[in-house]
Amino acid sequence: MHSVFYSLHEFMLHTESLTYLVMLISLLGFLGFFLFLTDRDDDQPEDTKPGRHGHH
Amino acid sequence: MAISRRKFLGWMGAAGIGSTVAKSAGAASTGHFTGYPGSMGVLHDITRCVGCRSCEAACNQVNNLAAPTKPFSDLTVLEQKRATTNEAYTVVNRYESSEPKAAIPVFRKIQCNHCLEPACASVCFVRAFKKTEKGPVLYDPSVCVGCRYCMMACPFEIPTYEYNEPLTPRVLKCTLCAPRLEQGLLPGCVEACPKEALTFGKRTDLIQIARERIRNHPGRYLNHIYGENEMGGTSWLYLSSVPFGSVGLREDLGIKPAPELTAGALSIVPMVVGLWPVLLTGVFAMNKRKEKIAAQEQAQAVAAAVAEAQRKAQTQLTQALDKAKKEKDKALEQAEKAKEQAVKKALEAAATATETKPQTKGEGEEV
Amino acid sequence: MSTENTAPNSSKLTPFNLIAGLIVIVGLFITVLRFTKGLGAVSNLSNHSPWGIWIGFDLLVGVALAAGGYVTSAAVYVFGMKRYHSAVRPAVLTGFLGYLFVVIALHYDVGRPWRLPYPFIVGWGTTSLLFEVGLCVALYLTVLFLEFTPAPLEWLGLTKTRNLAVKLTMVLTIFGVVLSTLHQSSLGALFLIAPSKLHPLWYSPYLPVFFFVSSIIAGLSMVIFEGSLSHKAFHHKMDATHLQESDGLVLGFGKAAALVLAGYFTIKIVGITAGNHWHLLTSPYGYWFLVELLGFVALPCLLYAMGAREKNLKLIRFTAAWTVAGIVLNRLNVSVIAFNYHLPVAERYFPHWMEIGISVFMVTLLILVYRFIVTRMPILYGHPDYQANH
Ligand code: SF4
Ligand code: SF4
Ligand code: SF4
Repeated sequence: MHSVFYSLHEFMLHTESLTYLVMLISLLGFLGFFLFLTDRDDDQPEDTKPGRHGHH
Repeated sequence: MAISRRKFLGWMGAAGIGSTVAKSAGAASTGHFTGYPGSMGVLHDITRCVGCRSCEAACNQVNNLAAPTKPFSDLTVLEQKRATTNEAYTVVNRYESSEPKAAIPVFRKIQCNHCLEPACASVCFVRAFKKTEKGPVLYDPSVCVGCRYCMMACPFEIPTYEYNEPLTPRVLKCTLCAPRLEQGLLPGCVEACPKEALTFGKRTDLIQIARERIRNHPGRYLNHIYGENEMGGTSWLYLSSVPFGSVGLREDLGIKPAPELTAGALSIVPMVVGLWPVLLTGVFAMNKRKEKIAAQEQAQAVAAAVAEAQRKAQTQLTQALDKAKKEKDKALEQAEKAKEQAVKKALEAAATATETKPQTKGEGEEV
Repeated sequence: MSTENTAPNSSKLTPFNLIAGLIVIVGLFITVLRFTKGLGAVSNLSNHSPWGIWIGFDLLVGVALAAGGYVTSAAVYVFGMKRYHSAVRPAVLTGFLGYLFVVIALHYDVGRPWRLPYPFIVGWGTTSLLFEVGLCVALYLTVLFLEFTPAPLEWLGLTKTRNLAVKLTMVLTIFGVVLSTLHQSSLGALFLIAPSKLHPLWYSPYLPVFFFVSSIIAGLSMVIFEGSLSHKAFHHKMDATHLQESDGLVLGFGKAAALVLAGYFTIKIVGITAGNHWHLLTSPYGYWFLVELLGFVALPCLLYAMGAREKNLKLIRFTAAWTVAGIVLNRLNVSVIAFNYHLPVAERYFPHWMEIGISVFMVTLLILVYRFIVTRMPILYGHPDYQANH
């Protein structure tokens, strides 16, 4: 998918649109990855909330 | 070599207007962008303009705009500096030269410059403005929200707004007569100019023409084609005998294409999206860990304290028990002793009593 | 529980209610004019000055002053300053209302307000910073709404939904900070496209950074400022925790604001140096720039620091109001006062009284809605049924 760009504006329109898609995916991906990363911690992920002084 | 309107139609065929723009080499996808090959423009030779306002009249007519209050033949309007409005996509202004040698007034036509990298298109968040392949920068009112950012951005202060339309205001400006170009006609203003101060053609050709004029008449022209590089280049080009600043064309715009002005800020956005969550979760996790460690330490301290207390209590208890036992033993011993003594005493007493006082026996029994 | 809690003065003819009523009537009148006669009838906007105070004040100042939401929730939830927990709800509420009224005010300014979602439906003008601002504001308004929902849900007694909303706090906070960083800075970046129109002392490639950093200052100061206002008005609504924490909060936020102001001052100086604009300081615009830089950045920085050192809450509260005024000044300078500096005075923009009228109308509506909410929902006090979470 290599198109020819005649103007900087056209080029940026293309790359910026893709960048927005990348950003969307990366945000969701990060959330998923973070859950994956902390899944086996002794704290449950739901416990990552503040204001919870549920421990003894 | 100047292309007049009379030669226009013949020339049209050669330029191949209307044919698709060749997607060929030369157009780089990175770095330098040169614009659509073969796109059109207009060269405005300010030295030829006489301020007759014929272009204004033609523009008004071809765009079906409302008739002005003063007729186009009335040249007194030139006494004021005017700007484009939503009822006049082009205006001609008169500028008195400050230079004493050329005490004659000069005139300049103002309209959209159809930038190669339009600021208006770069900032429009619904892409209502578009640089078309043939040159005109066109506006699509069917998507425009009316935020007027395009007007803020245009370095030439061209787009105008229908401020008195309550619900369907549009942004209006010169179209380079795109509809007429489709029909193979010249832009209205170019066709109407009696002095051939306006030349329509391929932008690349216009630059050649302008260069030639400068070379042939070095005394007449400044050695600069305004619009060749300003803001990354414009489709409308200007030649002048007086500094461009004195005819209302800003000389401080630089040659950076408009999108480059915001490219830096835009490039930071994905960096923030990519790294901020990492950073913030990191800080959060660190604080959480600190809290956890603090809690653990506290718990440990408590546990230790409790253990210590328990140990102390235990020793105290055993000691106490020991002591108690000893005391008990001792007490028992003493009690035993006491008992023995008492018994002994009693027996002794009883022995004496039986001899002398018999009542004391009762006392001895009570003990 | 809510009905008895209605503020004593909300239905009476106090001077405040009288003036507010008058403003609302005038505001409605201008609204009708705007949507029947067009922008031209109610504003002094022109082709050269297409953005006036509805953008300069309602949008730029509005968004900057609503920064308290993300600043406070970031401080408490991300940076672990749990001791300021009671400040989160009022700050999030003001943030939410601030953004809500920013969006409402935009409906007056843009030509076809019902097309405001177009950028995300038909437009995708991704090269525009306004696209980015619009996207972030839309998303952040949603985030603030979700962050705020526990309060009305507690009020309505919908425990399950409320607990779900509370669970999202962390994700929402981080997402909110990301979005705020983006659009606060992008509001400054909007002006990057017009180096030929904005005075060089205010135009800088660092504009987005200036806007972002000053939004933190605005957020901190606004939380203090608002706190002292609602202390006067809604003292009876505050619970012991809130009252207890509020003094510490004023001190802490005052100290933080002093620090950030020091940083902001530094980068402003860097901005002048990088642009080589020192010589411009001796022009009239230069004097005006110095008023802003010294009077509304350096001075409050010093005052905050003194207040924090001497534990002088009164001084800090005063400085907060002063700083808020400085933010207003800065945003108006960039968008209106130093914009189009090259035009002759006669062509410059000055707001029409009806433009000011709409801005005042918006602020009044915001205050009225705020009052409605804090007199009913658990904002300034912890809801007795949900104490465990406070
Ligand atoms: S002159 Fe202005 S309106 Fe015309 S294309 Fe350039 S930026 Fe757009
Ligand atoms: S006013 Fe219309 S054309 Fe101009 S930037 Fe806004 S949406 Fe685009
Ligand atoms: S090109 Fe057409 S629209 Fe533009 S100024 Fe000339 S006549 Fe008017």
